[in-house]
Amino acid sequence: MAKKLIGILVAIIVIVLIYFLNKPLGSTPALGMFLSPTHGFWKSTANVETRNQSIEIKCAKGNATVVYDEIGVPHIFADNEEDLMYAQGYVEAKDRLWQMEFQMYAAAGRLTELVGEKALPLDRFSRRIGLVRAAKTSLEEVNKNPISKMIVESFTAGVNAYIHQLKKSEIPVEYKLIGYTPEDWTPLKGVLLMKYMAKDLTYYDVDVENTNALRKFGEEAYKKMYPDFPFGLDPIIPKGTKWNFKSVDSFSAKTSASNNNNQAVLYKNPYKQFYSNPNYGSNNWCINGSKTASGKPILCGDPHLGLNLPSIWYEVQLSCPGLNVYGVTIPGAPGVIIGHNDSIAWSVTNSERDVINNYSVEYDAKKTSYKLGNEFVPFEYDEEVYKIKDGKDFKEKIKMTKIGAVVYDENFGEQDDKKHLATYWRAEEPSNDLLTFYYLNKAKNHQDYLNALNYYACPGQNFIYADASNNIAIRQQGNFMLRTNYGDGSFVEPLANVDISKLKAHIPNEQNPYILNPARNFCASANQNPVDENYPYYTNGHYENYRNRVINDVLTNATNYTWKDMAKLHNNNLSLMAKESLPTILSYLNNTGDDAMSKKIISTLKSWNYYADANSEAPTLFYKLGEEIQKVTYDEMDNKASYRIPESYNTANLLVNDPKFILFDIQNTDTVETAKEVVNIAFKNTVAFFTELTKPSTRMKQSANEAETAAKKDALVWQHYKNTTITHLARLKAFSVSDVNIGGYHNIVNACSDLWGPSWRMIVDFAGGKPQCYGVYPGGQSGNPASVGFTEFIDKWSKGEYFTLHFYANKEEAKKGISNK
Amino acid sequence: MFLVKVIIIAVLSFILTLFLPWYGVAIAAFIVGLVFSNKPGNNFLAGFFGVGLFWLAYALFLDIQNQHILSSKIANLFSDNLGTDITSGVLIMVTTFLGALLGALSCMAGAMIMDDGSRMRRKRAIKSGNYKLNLN
Repeated sequence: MAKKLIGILVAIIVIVLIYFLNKPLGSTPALGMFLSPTHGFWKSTANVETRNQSIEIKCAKGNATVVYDEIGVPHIFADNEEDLMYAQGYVEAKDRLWQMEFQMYAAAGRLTELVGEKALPLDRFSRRIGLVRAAKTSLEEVNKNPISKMIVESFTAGVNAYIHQLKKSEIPVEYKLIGYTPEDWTPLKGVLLMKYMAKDLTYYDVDVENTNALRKFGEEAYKKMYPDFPFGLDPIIPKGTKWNFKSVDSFSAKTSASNNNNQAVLYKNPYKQFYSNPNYGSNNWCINGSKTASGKPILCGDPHLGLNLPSIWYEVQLSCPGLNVYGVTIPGAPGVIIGHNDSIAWSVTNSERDVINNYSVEYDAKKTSYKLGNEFVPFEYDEEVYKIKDGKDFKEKIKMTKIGAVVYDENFGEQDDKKHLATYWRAEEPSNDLLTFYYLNKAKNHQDYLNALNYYACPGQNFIYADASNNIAIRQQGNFMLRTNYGDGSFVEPLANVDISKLKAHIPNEQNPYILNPARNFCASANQNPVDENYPYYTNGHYENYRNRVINDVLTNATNYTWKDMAKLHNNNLSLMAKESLPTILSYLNNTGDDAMSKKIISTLKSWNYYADANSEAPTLFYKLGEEIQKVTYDEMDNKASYRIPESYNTANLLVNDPKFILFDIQNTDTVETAKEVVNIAFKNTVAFFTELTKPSTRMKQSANEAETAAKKDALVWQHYKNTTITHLARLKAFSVSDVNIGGYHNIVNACSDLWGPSWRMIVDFAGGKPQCYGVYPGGQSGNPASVGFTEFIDKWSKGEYFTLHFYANKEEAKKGISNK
Repeated sequence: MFLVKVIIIAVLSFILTLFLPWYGVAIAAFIVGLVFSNKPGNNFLAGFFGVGLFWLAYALFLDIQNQHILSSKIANLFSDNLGTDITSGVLIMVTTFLGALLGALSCMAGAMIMDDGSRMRRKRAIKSGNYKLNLN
């Protein structure tokens, strides 16, 4: 009997043990489940390899054939568009399900459901700025059009068909690590993805920072620090281009932002960390036959985005009667976003135009209404509920005005009523951007391309174009606000002054910057100003001024080019910033120290060829020195308010051409400093920094010391100092790849920075009549960490090499393609 | 007999976990313990080897098929979190030991709850006429 009792006791112990092993503890997964070979991570290795095989998918109407080639690109063949979209949804889910869903949790402000309370500020930010509101508005628009409705519904059905057949034990490992399971895809999620991209590419607004700078430094200094048109302006549409239209703006000029009320107010942006990275950008260019060896055009795409695993891009070929297209898409999006078909090729870069206005709110006494014009309008409320993992729901009511939410108020980051901000974001306007890609995918000629672009609203993009008939073109397309006066939309203004009909009005599509077959025989964009001062509208934004000039210079001199010359340009590491500013910086230096580091820095920089190559030390020294120069120069920008450091090209320009500019003066000294003193102080700081970085530590043991000394010696090498890292979306270090052997940096054509950079290098060469595509991206087709394909392309990408991609005429050819392997 | 029991536990574990959650292996070992009740120590070892070998073989099979790609990443993940160096091999061992321990305890519990001694002993006792039914 005692034995029986002990048996029962042991059984209870086992049950308790299982209970705890089946329960996630904090961020640790349920260990029993996670380690078990039948249900845990071991099992997430099943069915991860797809390459060199052909599968049939049963779609809504018939079957689709998917042929995976040797690098895991699916070539999808269907009999009609519904089945094609269905199969694309199925295949994207098969290769990238976790990524698709995780992005949507982020976009919808639902990360608290996965990681708990700590994500609440970010989730609240996402919901307050209105990602989901914007998606809902646009979904109505999508549903009004039978084609876009068919696309999102077929795609959704395909994704769900995959999810429903997926065994729970075989879901990707991230689900098991975080402890959740896939939920159904919906048409709303597809639209939300577009808004998420819009956030990524437009939400770096600086109205608050501009307003502060104008108030603190005055208009003269402001215009020098943040000029609308930079020195050496080289816009997308060549300088001097005549515009044969006048602005349609018939609204009266408004008062300048510098003399509105609240003069004393300086803002602090409480959640700047949730804004998107303003450095995300892109290059694209194309040359026509007069510049190529073949006499046919070549087009290049080079979007720069966050470097993540799974990669943001996914390659695919889509084929059905009336449509055959190859390129990349973002997992969760139907169709091809950047690519080519038999007749045309296209790519995009971000327009960088400002599409966000911030307004200060004037309340009535009870704070239930806000002033608009001369009257007080009652707020409406957006009620949000946040489900929190291991916690109670969080609820909030967001004040809604006619132009958008009051993003910052007493409930979210800002106690001072005078600083409450309502935000108008262009992405909240209804749009059906999906149709642009649908029609581009099918476009046969230049007119089709222009028609396709008319559907495109946000985020504004520079669509570059080339076709087999040797036409090249570029158009900046988006739903851009009608702005004609200096400073329109650049500063915080009183909500009371808003004229809603003016705010919602937009520049007619046919008046957007556009050029066809320019005299210079090439088109290019690299996030620079779209136009010069002659354009009838005010085009404020966040623009680049180095990459564009390097690209335009190379293309101006291009003759007899082949795709390999284009590859060289993709991977060009020339730092034009260094070339233009370093000689002056070195000439400013006097009385530098006699120590080894000072001497080393000077001699290395003096002999530098200005190329930021991975194995070189000069870029490390130069960019650190530049950082120090900015720090010393902008000591006026304290922590009490938010400021924006001027673009590095503006600082460089002031340093060289306006060394007595008032901000070079250092505040806490009695003397008046100029650029020269700033450079000398920054140099001393740089020397101190690198001396410390390379100093062998004295406490280490002799043997460890040798290895460490070697590592410290390497610490100056650009690759290691920059430490390009391709980060897993859930920020898991073990799933990320760091210290990638690649050069380049911000403001360099090869814009490979620490956490962002070239995300898809594409070259489409029309030499053979039929377009041949070469491409590579830093990741791999599989989004599953268990697959070889997860990181497969990174090596080639870092070396500047490409895959020769297959564009099959039909499924027989595709099947033959893989049987030869 | 011991070997047979080990094999039955392994096979039943495999079958049950096809439709039960991961802890189906404990249920399998427990059932076998109930049915083939024996000395606790004997059952402990049978459960230990039955589930342990099943998990070892299955984990090895999946891991080798996957060329250790995922297991080395998971090992790195644990290393980052625990601050020690863990390899795929360690993961295999931990997995095996965890399964083995659960199997052992479950199988032993099953046998002890049955608590009428070994069937073999009982059969022998019945044959020799020394068997008394315990009515408590």
